[in-house]
Amino acid sequence: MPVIAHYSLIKDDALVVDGRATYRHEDKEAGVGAFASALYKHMELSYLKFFKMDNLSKLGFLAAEALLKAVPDFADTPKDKTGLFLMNAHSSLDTDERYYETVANDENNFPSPALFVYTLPNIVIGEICIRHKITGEHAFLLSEQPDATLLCNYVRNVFDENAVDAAIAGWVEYYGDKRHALLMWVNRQPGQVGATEFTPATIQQLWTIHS
Amino acid sequence: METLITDLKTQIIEHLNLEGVSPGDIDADEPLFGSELGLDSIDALEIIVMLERIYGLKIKSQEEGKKVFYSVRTLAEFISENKGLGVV
Amino acid sequence: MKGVYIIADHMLSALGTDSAAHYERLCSGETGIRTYDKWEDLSGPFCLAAVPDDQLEAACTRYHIPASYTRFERFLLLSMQAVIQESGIDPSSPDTVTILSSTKGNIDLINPATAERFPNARINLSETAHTVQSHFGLLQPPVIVSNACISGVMALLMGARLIRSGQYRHAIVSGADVISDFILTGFESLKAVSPEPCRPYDADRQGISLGEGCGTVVLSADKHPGSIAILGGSISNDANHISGPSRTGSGLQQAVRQALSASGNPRIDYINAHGTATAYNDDMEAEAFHALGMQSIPLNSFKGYWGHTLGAAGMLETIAACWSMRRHKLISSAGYAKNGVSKPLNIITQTQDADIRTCLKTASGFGGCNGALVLQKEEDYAGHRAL
Repeated sequence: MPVIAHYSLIKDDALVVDGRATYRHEDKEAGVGAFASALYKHMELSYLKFFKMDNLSKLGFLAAEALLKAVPDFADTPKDKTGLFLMNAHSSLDTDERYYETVANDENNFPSPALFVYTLPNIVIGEICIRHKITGEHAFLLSEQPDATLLCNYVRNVFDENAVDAAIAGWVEYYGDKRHALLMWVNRQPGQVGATEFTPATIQQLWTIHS
Repeated sequence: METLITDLKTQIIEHLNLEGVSPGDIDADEPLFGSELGLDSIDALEIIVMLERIYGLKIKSQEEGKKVFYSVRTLAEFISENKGLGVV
Repeated sequence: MKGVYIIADHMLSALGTDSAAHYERLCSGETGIRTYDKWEDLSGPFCLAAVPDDQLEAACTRYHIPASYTRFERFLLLSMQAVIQESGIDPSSPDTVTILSSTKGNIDLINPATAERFPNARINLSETAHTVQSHFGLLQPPVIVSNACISGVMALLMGARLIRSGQYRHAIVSGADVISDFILTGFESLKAVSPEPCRPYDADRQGISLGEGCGTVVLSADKHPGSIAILGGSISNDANHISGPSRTGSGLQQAVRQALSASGNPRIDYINAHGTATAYNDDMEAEAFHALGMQSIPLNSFKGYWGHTLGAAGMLETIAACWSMRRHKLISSAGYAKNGVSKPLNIITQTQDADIRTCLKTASGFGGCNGALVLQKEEDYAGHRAL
């Protein structure tokens, strides 16, 4: 039975890792751009491609950075056996609207290729994979609410098939300046200190205490 | 020409979201692509959009694009040679 | 381990509104790609593979799908209705899971002119799930897969896994996308659209032709006469670039290797590849199939017939591959004349009879994703050779 070994959460102005608040942005009302840039600096990252990403990708990227920093054996995990399973409700709608502004503007009609490439929700998976050289199984699913049962069942299917040894699974949502990312590191090593079984109930519980 | 080169550097930095890069960091004669700026194919497409939007100029072929996009100076030369021929 | 079988299918594209019509037109080499002077407010010309309005209306009438639904929703509903009728399964049973695949769903509603008749929230695919749920009286809203151009292959693999693990007995898997000014301008901005009907793997290929449509199957744990088994599959990521494929095809190689190994490494008789007709995609596939030692296996792309249908592509193409297997036909790869990929492949240039026992279906997409499925015709199908 896979376990939730670690998790990271970004919500509103805070970053939480394994239940501990590790960052809180000074300005609660800050837009996602300012928040993401501040968190990037706080985490002392050096990855220039970050600034080209759309908001959904920035959010997922930062949550994954924080999560994987907390995983001591990530370097030893085979990257072709590492999975990435994400969900949200609004897909890439924030960027879809930004892109469409470049199409539907009568005076200034210059569709932007750099925006268009981000009008797919799974691009955030691609960005995380590029950053951490993850090449394994993945999926982006859409659901009005976080669907703990579906996420758990499918990820367990992939574990049962031995298609992955470990996976990042969770929720990454950005729309209307509402941001919410909850990423779990799921692996097959029971007996880890603080590890929780990966079940619909434990996912739901983690979700509920942080929403 | 030098003003145009400085303008272009600023526009490229803005359009391509080159965080932490200032116009002084870009050498007008060095290759734009394959340099430390880390530009890729999407950046090339964005520069095409930028040329159309700001200067009303279109790149006609891939071969022309390769020559024009070599450096900031070749871009500036292309713009000053073709100014007035574009739609603006 | 439980088997998973494709027991019913339906296709909707520029080529027609049912699977049999598609198969006939594939065999006669007809393409559904046409030149349009304009599309919505955009002035062309554009080479597109659009579903003709009159054919869509006729099919909707046949399956009682009213005009109160959007074009995208009508694609899904009529296609799903067709497979429900064909298979006789109960969509509202707790044994049945429904999975939808799409890249952009109702994205045409982002255009205020199209959006007038529908509430804003309808643009969300998570809302499409509710629309489909209430139309068919499903117990749960459908699962929605949105993973770029491998969405269809991923949805099929997901359905197969959910059945194999014993959670469900049946899965209705449906993939759809519609042509919109959003998608058309986007691919044009990437300079990826061909001015003529697309020519996968050809020396003169100039990019993709956009298409639209829907493909739907019923997957079942029960074998039926003539059903095709999904032996296994795999998804991988290039971890290289968000919009350009890896030059070496390493991600696609990984997906194919894993899919074959999950399927017990059968010999592959036929490959239905992604073949978008962009320079980079087709070269990447050629590199990957060479590295895998699969370069001499007969291979085709269906995109020369109905364009790149995005979230429907994996569905429509897998269904067409199933028909090819059942009817013992290798179908020519439309638009191909002269090798134009970095390493030559065995592209099918003439539609011909062949015994195809196994098929490898692959797809690749933005975000660096790759997907592979292994299909197998059941032994007992030999008796149907006369068909």
